[in-house]
Amino acid sequence: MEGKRHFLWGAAMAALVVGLVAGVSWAVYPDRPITMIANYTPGGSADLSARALAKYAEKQLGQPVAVVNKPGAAGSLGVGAIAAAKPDGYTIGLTTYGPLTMAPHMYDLPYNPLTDFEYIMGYGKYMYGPCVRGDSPLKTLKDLVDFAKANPGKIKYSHPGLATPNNFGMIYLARATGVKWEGITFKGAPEAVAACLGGHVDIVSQNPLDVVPYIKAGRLRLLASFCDTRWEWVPEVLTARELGYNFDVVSWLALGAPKGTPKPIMEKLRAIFKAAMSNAEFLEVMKNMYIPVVYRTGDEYKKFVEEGYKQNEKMVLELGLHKSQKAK
Amino acid sequence: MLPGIGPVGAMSLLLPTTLHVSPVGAIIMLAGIYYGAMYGGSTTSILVNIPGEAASVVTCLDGYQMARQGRAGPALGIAAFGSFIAGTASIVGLMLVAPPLAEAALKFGPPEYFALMVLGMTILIYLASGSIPKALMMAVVGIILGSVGIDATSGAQRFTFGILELNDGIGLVPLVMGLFGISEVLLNVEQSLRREIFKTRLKGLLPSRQDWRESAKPIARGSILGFFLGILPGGGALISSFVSYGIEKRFSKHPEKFGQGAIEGVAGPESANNSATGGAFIPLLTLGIPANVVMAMLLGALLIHGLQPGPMLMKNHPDLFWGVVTSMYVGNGLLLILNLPLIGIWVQVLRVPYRTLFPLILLFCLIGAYAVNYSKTDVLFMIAFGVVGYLMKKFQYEGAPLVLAYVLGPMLENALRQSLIMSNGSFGIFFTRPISAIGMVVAIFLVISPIMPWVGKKRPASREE
Repeated sequence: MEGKRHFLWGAAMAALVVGLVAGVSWAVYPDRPITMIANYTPGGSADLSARALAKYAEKQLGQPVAVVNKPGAAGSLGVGAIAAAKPDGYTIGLTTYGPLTMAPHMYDLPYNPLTDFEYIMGYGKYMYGPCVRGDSPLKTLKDLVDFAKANPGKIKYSHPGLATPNNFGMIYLARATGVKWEGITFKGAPEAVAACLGGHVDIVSQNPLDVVPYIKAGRLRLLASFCDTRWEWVPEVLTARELGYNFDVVSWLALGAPKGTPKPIMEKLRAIFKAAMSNAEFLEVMKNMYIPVVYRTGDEYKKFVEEGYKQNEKMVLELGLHKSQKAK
Repeated sequence: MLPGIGPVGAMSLLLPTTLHVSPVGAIIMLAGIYYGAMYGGSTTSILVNIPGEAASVVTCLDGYQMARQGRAGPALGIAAFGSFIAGTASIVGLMLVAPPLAEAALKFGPPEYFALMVLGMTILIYLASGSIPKALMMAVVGIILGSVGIDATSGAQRFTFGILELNDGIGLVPLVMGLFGISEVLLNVEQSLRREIFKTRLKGLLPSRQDWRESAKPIARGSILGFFLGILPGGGALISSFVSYGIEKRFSKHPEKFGQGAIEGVAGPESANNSATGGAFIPLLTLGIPANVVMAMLLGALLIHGLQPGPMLMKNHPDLFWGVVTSMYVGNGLLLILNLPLIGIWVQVLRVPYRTLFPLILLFCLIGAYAVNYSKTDVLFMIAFGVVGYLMKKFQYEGAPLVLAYVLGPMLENALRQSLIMSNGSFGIFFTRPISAIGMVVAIFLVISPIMPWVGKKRPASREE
């Protein structure tokens, strides 16, 4: 009993001394487990990539990094939970592009994407592009545009949601070419793809993960990349810009922390997670998900968010989805 | 087995652990959880009137009534045998006709879904064991609850009251657990004294020959129906169990027994939902298209292991396909072997004093509701629905039509609007496409046909009252 009390005293004194010497608590960061909030459901591409990063980082940090899923409201709930967390470096998470640049225009959210976050890095880029069925007579994007011009209102496309880059890409293309086509919202990527495979719509606007296997099997054909780069799995297909249409769409996978997280901690996290990106297991996951691994520093990502925030606001307004346009 | 921690909950808990086993092992393990949980869901439905997962809602209707009459054993037994037979049948189907069937399922576009949903909605009429106007009222409530959230076609927020969590709608798990689970606990706490009837002698643990005779056809019909509905994306197991119940009630010589403990009402839906689990694998394994949330999780598991779901999966990884098929045979057999001896033990649960049982049930419900999205809002909703469900039971409003309408309503609406965009606004699309035309005609026939006997038989009965 006596011995135990002595030990406790000793430990307390030691802690005090360490604290005094270190001056501030983050010098020993991290001294307890870190929570990483994933703003999508378990098993999805965002979640799996976050888990792969966490697995590597916890070895480097010497503390467990627990991935906690907070899905809902298209990723906004999870991002909101990061913004609301204590900025001590023990809560970080996925700060993906959509909830930062799209959702704030549409809903009253408990966070401000421009002021409430410190970004660790951008680490993956979602790709977009339109596909037709493999047996479609429309071989190129020009065929599609010509057909749509000749048959106004005839072309229908499937997409996974109004306020998604998948839909925006088709709208930008229509605007650039002056054609009219109609989008049909499906509940998720698989249903949108199935609608095209079954011939119920002419085009499916989805991501590589959803369509590349079909492209390889000859069941679907990609007509263009809506991004600033070509799809690496179908390198012969040009980007919309290369084809003379002046637009691109983008979305990012990124990590961030609440605003006010001490700078030294941010630097440590940035260094460790940057290193995690060259981890073989992480690269494997990203390859399997068909998401190109692209590194952007926290500051670069912040700029993307600021630009995307402005650009998407215009689009959200035009679609009539802006929160100020809602009938109360 | 735990109420609420249905297949999705159990699988998401175990998903990370699959990283350490081989891909085939991982899929087999997750698939095992899937049909294990699908079967386990019926046990709690029958014993304590709490559906373990959504597809077991229908099992509550008659299964629980059977348990009240001391026939919990036969109910559990027929559920186990029915599941086994249907499960096996659907595996044979999976083996033989998977690729062509998957292609056929692609023919189902929005208009076909619309017709299917209309057909599903007509089944509401058969779900009601009491007052039809009350059932219709519940269906309307279900449709309203189902419409909460962001509307996919217009992007409008409906009935969300600025609560972000409601953007995705009201969760099925909190709704079902609240309406059935929590309310049942509340009701039983109130009537704990009257629970004596439960302790009546248990008449046999296994289904009698008479039970078998009555169940054979429902099991056969349920198996076939479940298999085909399971292939179609979107809640195959749930819809097939409801549809099976509707069909059995329609075909039955004594429809009045439904809702009072008819064994057909357990056998048919249980077979259908287990058969649907087999069917649901077809689009996943052959096309890479997940038919429901559970299949989407399996897809995630495949991706973790670098297996590319899609048209090439079967060609490139035949070991996976056959591994799953084999595991399903073994799994089904094991379920039967494990569950039959356990029936005796499960029935004993009914003897556990309620003051011990109900805190446990409450606890499981709370865990189950929280585990789906790690959301406190879901838990609050479940409790609120528990109170609503309690009042509904007090005033004899049934929960099943509400749940069916809640599930079908949004699907019906989506399919309608997608179809109309496809056709530039013409309703003709539902009748010019063969599959949807057949569905619509059958639905119209179903709506008209029961009106005759209903007008003929029920009216005089109500006058006598």
